[in-house]
Amino acid sequence: MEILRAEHLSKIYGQGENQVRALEDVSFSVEKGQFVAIVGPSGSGKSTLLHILGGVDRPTRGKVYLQGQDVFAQKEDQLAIFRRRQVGLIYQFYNLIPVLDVVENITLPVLMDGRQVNRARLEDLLTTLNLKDREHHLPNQLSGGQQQRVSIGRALMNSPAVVLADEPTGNLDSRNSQEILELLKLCNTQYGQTLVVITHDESIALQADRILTMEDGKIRRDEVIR
Amino acid sequence: MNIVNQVTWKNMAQNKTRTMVTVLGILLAAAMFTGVTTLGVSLVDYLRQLAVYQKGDYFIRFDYGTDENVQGVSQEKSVTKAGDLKALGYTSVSLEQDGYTKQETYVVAAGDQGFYDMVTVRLEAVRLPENSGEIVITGNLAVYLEKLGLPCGLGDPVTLSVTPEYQPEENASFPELPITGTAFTREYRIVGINEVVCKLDDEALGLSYLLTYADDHTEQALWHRLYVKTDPAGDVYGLQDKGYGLTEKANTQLLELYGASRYGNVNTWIYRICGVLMAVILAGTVSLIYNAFSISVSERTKQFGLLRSVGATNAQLRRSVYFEAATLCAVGIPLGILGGYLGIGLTLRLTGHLIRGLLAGSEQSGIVLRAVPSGAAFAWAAAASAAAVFLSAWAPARRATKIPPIAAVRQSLDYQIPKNTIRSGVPAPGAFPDFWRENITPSAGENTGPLSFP
Repeated sequence: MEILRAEHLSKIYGQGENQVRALEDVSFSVEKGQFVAIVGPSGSGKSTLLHILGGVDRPTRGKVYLQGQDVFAQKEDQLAIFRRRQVGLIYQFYNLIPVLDVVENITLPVLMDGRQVNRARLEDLLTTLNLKDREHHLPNQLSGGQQQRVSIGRALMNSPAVVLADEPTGNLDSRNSQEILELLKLCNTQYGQTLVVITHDESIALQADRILTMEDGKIRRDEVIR
Repeated sequence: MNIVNQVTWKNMAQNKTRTMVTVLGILLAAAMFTGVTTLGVSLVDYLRQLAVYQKGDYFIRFDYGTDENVQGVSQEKSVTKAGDLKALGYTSVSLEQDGYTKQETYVVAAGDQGFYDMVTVRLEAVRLPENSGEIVITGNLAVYLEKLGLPCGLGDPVTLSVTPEYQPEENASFPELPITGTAFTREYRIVGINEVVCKLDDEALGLSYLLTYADDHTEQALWHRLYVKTDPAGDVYGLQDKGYGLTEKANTQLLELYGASRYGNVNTWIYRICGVLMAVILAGTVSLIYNAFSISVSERTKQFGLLRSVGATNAQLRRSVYFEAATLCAVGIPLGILGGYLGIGLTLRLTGHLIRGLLAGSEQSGIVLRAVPSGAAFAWAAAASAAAVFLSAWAPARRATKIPPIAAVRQSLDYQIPKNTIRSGVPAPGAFPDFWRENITPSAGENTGPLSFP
């Protein structure tokens, strides 16, 4: 079942001579439960693509459909609500709210929605992410790997339609990288979570179901591995 | 508290210094606003006290009214205070002096409690009458009585024969009145001595008043003088048109301090000056508090972007800035009002005497300019401070919602700059003004970029 579709996405920064084409006519679709890795050199438009898929940046042209919904047809506030319910974002630099503790950071999208926190899911996530004894620590009291696990928890808390990760292991040592990757794979296999991960690390890419290779704002190769 | 506000709250707690500085700014603003509004209100109050001292605490006075008029006024809804002075009749004393007869006529009048509350009777001795058997005489009657060998001291009895008739000598403006009362003679006890003459601003009659108190034993009134205060003050003109007396006189001095004069309103002018001062303070404080807020917002740019990327709506972010503003107001404004009031109170205590003697009657009245606690003044100051804070918070709040979520993750934002846009050597046309270009001439064999040094 198709869950995510990008149609003719273009993103142009600047104007006239200083124009920069970050994305040029990118189209593809992702099946539900698929683990997609996006690889490519720096400046190839990977992050721009990911941000557009997540609804945090707007394309200059083209459309994104998530679960059949035209993402950018929504008004700004609808888009914000869409983001917190349907998209889980994981960044390279974790981007946790420094004044909130682990539990608050993880439940942030739920709390922002004004909903009750599903205690069982939270407990489940804290156990899976091995953060049980860190519940009330602030981000600056955690290691990089732990912070990234919190941001994974935040991305998964709402059971979003798709989890988008922008070099989730880019800032971690190999042991922590492997751990994070295991977690991402676990949520892919266990919960059937659709995953789109940007990575520079070939070993990570090879564990995905499918690899998109980008270059100069275009998809050069689209290989399904398994 | 919702989670976005909670984040704001925690940020404020973490940046204690900046929060304190902002609170201090709001406090100062509120203090200045309170100073201005309290000064304005106090000044108006002071002038009102002076006007009351000079004329009385009434807006209009009806002269030569009938019993029906008294009835009519008491039924008027807008009347908040009314005083009735019943003229009972006239009494004369004559004194043979230097071969001719000098005669002095007085009006004997009984005031009710309202009259004594509203009209200032300046006693030189003791007290006002409290029943219809007591009287306050004027200083010059006391002199007459003394010369006639009659008792004239406090507590002494004085017998007055009062007639309903009075023939004004050359007083054309005195209206012809129907004679309703009857002549009587009554012994009064002198309880106080009034000013030398007590004309009660009765230019038409031109006689001094001997004042007693109106109770159940008071004789039939010849006519009434009605003192009336209304709320709103402007309603006096409606009463004036109804004519509750043969003539009437508005207390313009007081009316123009209640914004109800048809000519110039002193209080309006004072409040306008306050308004101008507040506008100036507003401009000053907005720029001060605005800076505090924009610092706070730009420090939190990343956080706002992050919150947006995890799905905070613009409304939530805007509310969080307003929440911050409201929290700071809740602390700064009450403290500022308190501080401003105490400040202006102290200032007036130290300098209030300077204004004495500047205004007619201020010296002998003993009325001093003092800070008056006024709910309206505090409310205006609070409203102006809140306006300043929210004006200051508005632009940063807008900016907060304009920060693209992507700004939060800028570290990983990758741009691609095509190779053909990177130039070196001779600047492109338009890169420098023409006059400058002319001076840049690349010499042969040498790479003379615009930034190369000899």
